Amino acid sequence: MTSILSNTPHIADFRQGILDENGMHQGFLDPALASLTEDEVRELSDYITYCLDGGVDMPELVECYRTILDDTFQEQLNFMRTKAYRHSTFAEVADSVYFNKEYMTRYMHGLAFTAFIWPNHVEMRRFFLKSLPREKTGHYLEIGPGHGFYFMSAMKQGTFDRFTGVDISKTSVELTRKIVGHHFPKENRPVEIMESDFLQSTVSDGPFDAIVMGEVLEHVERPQDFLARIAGLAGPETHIFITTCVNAPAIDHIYLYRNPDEVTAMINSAGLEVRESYTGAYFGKSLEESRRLNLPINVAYVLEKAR
Amino acid sequence: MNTYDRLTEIFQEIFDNDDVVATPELSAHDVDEWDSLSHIRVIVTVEEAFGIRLSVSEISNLTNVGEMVALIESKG
Ligand SMILES: C[S@@+](CC[C@H](N)C(=O)[O-])C[C@H]1O[C@@H](n2cnc3c(N)ncnc32)[C@H](O)[C@@H]1O
Repeated sequence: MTSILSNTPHIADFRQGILDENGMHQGFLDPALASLTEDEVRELSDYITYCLDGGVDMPELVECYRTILDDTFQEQLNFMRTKAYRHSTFAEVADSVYFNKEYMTRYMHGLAFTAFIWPNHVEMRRFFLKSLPREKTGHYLEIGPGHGFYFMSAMKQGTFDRFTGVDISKTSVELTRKIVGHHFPKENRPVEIMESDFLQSTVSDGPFDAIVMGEVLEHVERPQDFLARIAGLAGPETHIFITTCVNAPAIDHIYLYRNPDEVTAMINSAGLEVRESYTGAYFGKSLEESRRLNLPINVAYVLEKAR
Repeated sequence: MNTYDRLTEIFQEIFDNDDVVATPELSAHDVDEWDSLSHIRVIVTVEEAFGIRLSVSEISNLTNVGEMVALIESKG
């Protein structure tokens, strides 16, 4: 831990900024940072540098992460009281979240940080990178790239030769274009980021060679339609990777899965099959306890089209 | 049963730890299991047990159990 702080001053400043406002978070934050691999520490530090270079200063970055913490706290409180997410329609959250540039920018940067701090998000990112095929060429499609971090990582790590992203939020489209432009200033492979609802989007008919959709199903009214469209755009060899969450309230989560079985049942009825999966219990609890107490559970899957 | 005894029962159940006893000085720092989500579980259980409703700012400002008891009793 001390070496992370002395070798990566940006991470040290970021950590200090968080703890100045929320000392209680130390017991969570320090073990999380200490468990990152060297590569992840470098990526986190690079992400902070990228944000700073792009004109977001350190207090603002700290605020981005705090926004997620505070909003999640409020929503968890509401969820424990009511056993339901606060909102259930896209219209209720669209203007305050997806179409609110200031809020969405803060939220997406904050979310990118959780991929280095929240143990289940760290694991899902590792699962994403580990499962992404190394030698597969062809067309990569990502739905809801948000901050663009997964999209950019796929461009770095994968051998695909064409990339398409679709996001309903203009801010997410801009953030993804920006992070891609920053890491690949001289990119020759075609990259297109479309601003559209995935269900209405005019992406090509496929089949795509990879389809990735991180943390989107819980944000939409009819996730089964998203899975069905993915199945329609996939061929037998398509690598499909999706993540979502169970009993995990957030300001813009509108579709509540009450247990991981509901997710897999929906996947199967869309004509997809689970090839590999990750199930992350709530921090410090077993899966059984997380289920019993309705605590947040994260799930990620590598899927294939049912044969 | 007084407020501290009732809180002791609630804490032992939520933290799954029979050694936790509610005292005025006890705070989240003293209990390993006391993270932000178990804090929320404490709050919601306290609300149900005492028939009260707490606001987010009241919850966030609590620094120890003594303050929690004062808050509960001020609402009762
Ligand atoms: C929580 S973010 C996920 C970001 C990133 N994929 C990740 O896993 O961290 C959800 C993203 O999905 C986008 N989104 C929500 N509804 C959508 C829809 N109907 N079509 C396309 N994108 C959508 C949001 O704008 C946002 O950028």
